[in-house]
Amino acid sequence: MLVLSILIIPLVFVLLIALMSSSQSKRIALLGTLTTLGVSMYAFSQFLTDANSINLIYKTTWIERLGANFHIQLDGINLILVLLTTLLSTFIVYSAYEREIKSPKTYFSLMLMMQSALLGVFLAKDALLFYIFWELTLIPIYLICLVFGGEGRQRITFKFFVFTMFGSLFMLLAILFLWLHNPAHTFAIADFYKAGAALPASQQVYVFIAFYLAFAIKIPIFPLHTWQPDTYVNAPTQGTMLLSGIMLKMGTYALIVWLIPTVPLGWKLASKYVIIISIISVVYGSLMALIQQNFKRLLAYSSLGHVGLIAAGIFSFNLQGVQGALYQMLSHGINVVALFFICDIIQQRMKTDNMQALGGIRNVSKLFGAFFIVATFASVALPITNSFVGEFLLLHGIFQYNSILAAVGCTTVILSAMYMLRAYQLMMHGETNELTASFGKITMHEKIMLGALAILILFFGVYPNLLLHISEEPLKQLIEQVRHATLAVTYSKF
Amino acid sequence: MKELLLLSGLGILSLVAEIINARKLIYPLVIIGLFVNIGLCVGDLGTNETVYGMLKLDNSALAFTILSSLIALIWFIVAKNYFSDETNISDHFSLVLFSLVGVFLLASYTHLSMLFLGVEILSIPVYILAGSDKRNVYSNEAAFKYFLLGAFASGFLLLGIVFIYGGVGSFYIAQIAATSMLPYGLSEPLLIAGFLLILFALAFKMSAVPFHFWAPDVYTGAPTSITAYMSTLVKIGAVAGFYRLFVGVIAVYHNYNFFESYTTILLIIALLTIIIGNVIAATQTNIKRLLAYSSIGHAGFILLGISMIRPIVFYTVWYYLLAYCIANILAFWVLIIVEKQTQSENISAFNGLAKRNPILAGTMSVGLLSMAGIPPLGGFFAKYFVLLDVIGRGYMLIAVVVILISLIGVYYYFKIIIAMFAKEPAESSTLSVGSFTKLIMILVSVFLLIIGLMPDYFLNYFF
Repeated sequence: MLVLSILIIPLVFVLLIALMSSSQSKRIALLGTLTTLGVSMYAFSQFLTDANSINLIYKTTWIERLGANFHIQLDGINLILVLLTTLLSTFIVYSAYEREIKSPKTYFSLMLMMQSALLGVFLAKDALLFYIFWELTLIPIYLICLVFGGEGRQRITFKFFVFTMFGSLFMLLAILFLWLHNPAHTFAIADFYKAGAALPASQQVYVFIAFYLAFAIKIPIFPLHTWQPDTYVNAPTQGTMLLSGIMLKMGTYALIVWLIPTVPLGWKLASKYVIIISIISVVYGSLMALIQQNFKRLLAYSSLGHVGLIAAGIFSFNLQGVQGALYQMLSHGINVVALFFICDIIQQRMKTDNMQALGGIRNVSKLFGAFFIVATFASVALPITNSFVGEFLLLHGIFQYNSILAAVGCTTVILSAMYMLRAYQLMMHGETNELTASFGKITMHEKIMLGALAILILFFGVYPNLLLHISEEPLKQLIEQVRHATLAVTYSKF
Repeated sequence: MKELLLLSGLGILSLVAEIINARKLIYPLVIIGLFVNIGLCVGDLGTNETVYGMLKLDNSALAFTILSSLIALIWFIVAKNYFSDETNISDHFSLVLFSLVGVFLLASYTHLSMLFLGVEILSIPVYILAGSDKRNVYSNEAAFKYFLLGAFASGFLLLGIVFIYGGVGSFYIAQIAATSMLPYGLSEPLLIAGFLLILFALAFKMSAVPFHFWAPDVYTGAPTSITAYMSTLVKIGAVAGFYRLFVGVIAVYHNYNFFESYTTILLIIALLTIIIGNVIAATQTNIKRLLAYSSIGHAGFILLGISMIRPIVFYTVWYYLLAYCIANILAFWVLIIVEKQTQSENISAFNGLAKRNPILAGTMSVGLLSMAGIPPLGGFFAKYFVLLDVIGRGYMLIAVVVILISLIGVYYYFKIIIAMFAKEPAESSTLSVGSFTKLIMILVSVFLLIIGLMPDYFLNYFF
């Protein structure tokens, strides 16, 4: 029941928002996300004492004739993602706290609905339920971008919607296919693993491709990323944070839990191609970030690079790679929320995010410069920041798979240092011009937000074992299961 | 039997009400009558009552009748203004009720003469209703076109029935099923010709390609309320007729051989209907026409469901109809209100509707999202069940094609949603609707959500 309440609390607060006046919306929304965070923390402590506690699982029959269950469960892998979602949602709602919003009721309700749907994606242990939540996330974020976005939003959000819809329809096809080839005719994840692993190699590759399309579009990975930069730039700041901070983790999470263990042989056959594509995505994203003039667009491309590395680490599917990926998902979420918030502050005050037009902001507000440099260092994966742990493990994992690919992947560290420090220098250092002189001090709200994020960045940087320890055991099992499935088939060929 | 008497009794009663000057009573009476009809049907579930050997009220017949009564109930609320605007209220009431009798016959016949009667009783009132906007030349054109082509289709139907009689020597479906089991049954040319002619006639009523050319003009010309009626209830009738015939023939002896010979034709018709309906809908700017073409596309999905039929999956078609009809009627409801206020059927009439009236925009979005097949609305599981059958039969390629085509559906439904949410309204005045309308709109939207969240709950009653 505890785990069900994590899903339901945001929806209850949506009802509260609908009932109260619109000036109260932001307070209720913040209260809602804080409550969810509290409950998820409590679930976390429960998990630490007893991982198999009855509180962490909720299962009931849902559609009997299809064999679908409403099965949500907290385990060592999705616990990190649930924490990420509840934590970042709080920050995202708080980041809109002192901003002008045209209809706050709608805006905050959509954010809370989004949170609930995202949590559903991470918690679902039933393929149909997973698919429904996966699609459910799309409607609120689409409306957030469509109603509250910037110029040209109709075209851009529509492209985003059609891209993701295209991918998820193929995922639906794959799920249907697996259901039909599953003798028990259920959607339970364990049955899916069995049914998928029993398929012949050629069919596994098709299923792999269908799933990969859905997840790669969401992440996004190189040739399927074209919706991403425009959507990130165009969406309202909170929409961008939701998209890059949490929503793309749906894709990477699904790679770990739903794709690779389901079709191990498909992964084995396709892994070298998909890792190369992911590495291309890393280099492409980083190079594109290098030539951007606008800070928000730079962040969008840098995000493309970072998640490409996460995907590559997952596709190498060894303990270091996947552990690193999980940890980097959390770190990347925190870092992009911090960076997009910094970008929002600059945009709010300067009315532009063109880096050439800015400069010398540090002279005006030292504290802002300090926060910015922490976020920058986190983004370039400097030791003692959270990203260092993640990217180190990721590169370690990829190195075990193929050393050349790891070497190419390493360029992300160098390139990200180049573009992030360039951005920092252009905006923060140099002569203060007329525009930036009006920057002013940062407000209390911004201080709290950035301060908390900076603390999180450092905390997860120096104490990674808290979370790595939790995900280690279930990941080991998953990897062993995949290794076993691929071995068994290799033997049977002889 | 009770249902038949009730529906035709209501129809006659509303004619009488005109004479005794009790027009105001008709509306509440009809609403109550339809509720009672649903109640009667639910009470009859599982009894398998037969009416003089001509009709059989098994669960699937009752399921289609309940569906038609439910949609008619919503339709009467939707079309309230249609009745208050017109002079000959009671005539129109009785016409609608009589056509419901036609749907009932189509849902429950076991004798082919009842199929013909059902189709005619369903169609003739609709011909008249399509032309009920007497001073509008397009409405007249619609009625005339529909009547002319419809009469032609009825001719086909009759000829088909006669051919089957020639081949089998009986009008009873059970007898036809028995004959089709005989060694010569499958190759009997009269039987094949007869079935094909009936298939074409019913495909015409369902506006399936290549018998769809009447649909866009008739749907656009007829008064919008009547278009809503045609695109939902007439489809229910035609699909029920289809279902009865094909399932009736195969289910008794599980004679799939017989059915396989028609599957290919049905499959081709279904695919063409899905493709052409959706592709042309994407180019429309007139919403009524867009919805007309989209309803052609949905007819294709239903036919695809029928062509994949298996005894365990009979519910596919019914569920698709349920989700489609409710979503469609919601969309038409908002269209009627917006059209009345702006005097325009163009997409631009919907610009900024979310600002002018969020409830209308929300209702429209729910309807459109459901028709686009986005979970957790009913339309998702409707498409899901059809796809499940398609993949289950091994037609992987068809499944991929259908999925890509349904993306086109997403495109044109979202054109309307974008217009409502992201464009600026031409006039800033709010568009107010009565609180009763709002309440029913929200209830129906929630119902659409519930059938999407718990499809099992509704299906368990009937199948």
